[in-house]
Amino acid sequence: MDLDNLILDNTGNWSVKGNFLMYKKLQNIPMCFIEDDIYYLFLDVRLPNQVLKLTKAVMKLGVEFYFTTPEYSNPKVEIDDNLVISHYLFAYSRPQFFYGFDKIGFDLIRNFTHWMEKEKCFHLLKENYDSILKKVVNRNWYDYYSNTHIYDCELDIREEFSVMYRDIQINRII
Amino acid sequence: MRNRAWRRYKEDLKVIHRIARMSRGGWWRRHRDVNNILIQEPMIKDFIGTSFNFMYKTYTTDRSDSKYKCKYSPNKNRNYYRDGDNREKQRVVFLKILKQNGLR
Repeated sequence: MDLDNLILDNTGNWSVKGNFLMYKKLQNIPMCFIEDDIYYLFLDVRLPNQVLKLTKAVMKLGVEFYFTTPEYSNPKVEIDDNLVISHYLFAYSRPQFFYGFDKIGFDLIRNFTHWMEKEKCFHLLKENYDSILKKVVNRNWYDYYSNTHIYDCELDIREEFSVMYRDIQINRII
Repeated sequence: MRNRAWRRYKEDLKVIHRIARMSRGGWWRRHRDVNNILIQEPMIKDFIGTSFNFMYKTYTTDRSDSKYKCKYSPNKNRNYYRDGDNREKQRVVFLKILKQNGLR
């Protein structure tokens, strides 16, 4: 297992520094690392296209991989499963990833369920799911001109999130 | 020499300069980046993808000294009016032609 395999092009933007695969956009931003023979990709909203390309490349390799929050690139941050769960859900509520993963044919929710099974942290899901649903997905403001509620997230994403908890439970059984 | 790569390089320099100036200054240093992470002392990379990053990509402002400025050019001190034929308008026309022919 080597991170050099994941350098996707010859533009010079991709590089391996220390344990991390980096992508340069203004500055070097960590994208991926390997721990216990498992690939961990940073689900970074700053670089959605590169994350999608990297996911496609890792899918082709056919290895076990999961996503994690970009906060873990900072060695100062203590590892907490709550952070990863909320970031998985937050990133999926972004349109770049919501439509992007659909386009490349990757099921993020399935991957998320597998990760939770591996870490045995299903009991943390409900709390984080409710929080993201309320604070991010259903965030809205009232427009007095048109007498309607304007939502930050699109209708497709809100509909998907309304049934997501049930989907995760089904994925867990399957 | 002054091809697209060079122009992007110069644009990046400008964006880094502007973001660095913003991240250094001000008494309120807390910043929530696009990953919804609250950062106490933001650095340049924490502003990537935010509205500031996109806003700072422009080289013109409302001020008269940069309103009609030519982009990163050796002739940048010579003002010219942008209502003529320029790269931006040509690009719009080009994209329209591509769409009409089903290439985009």
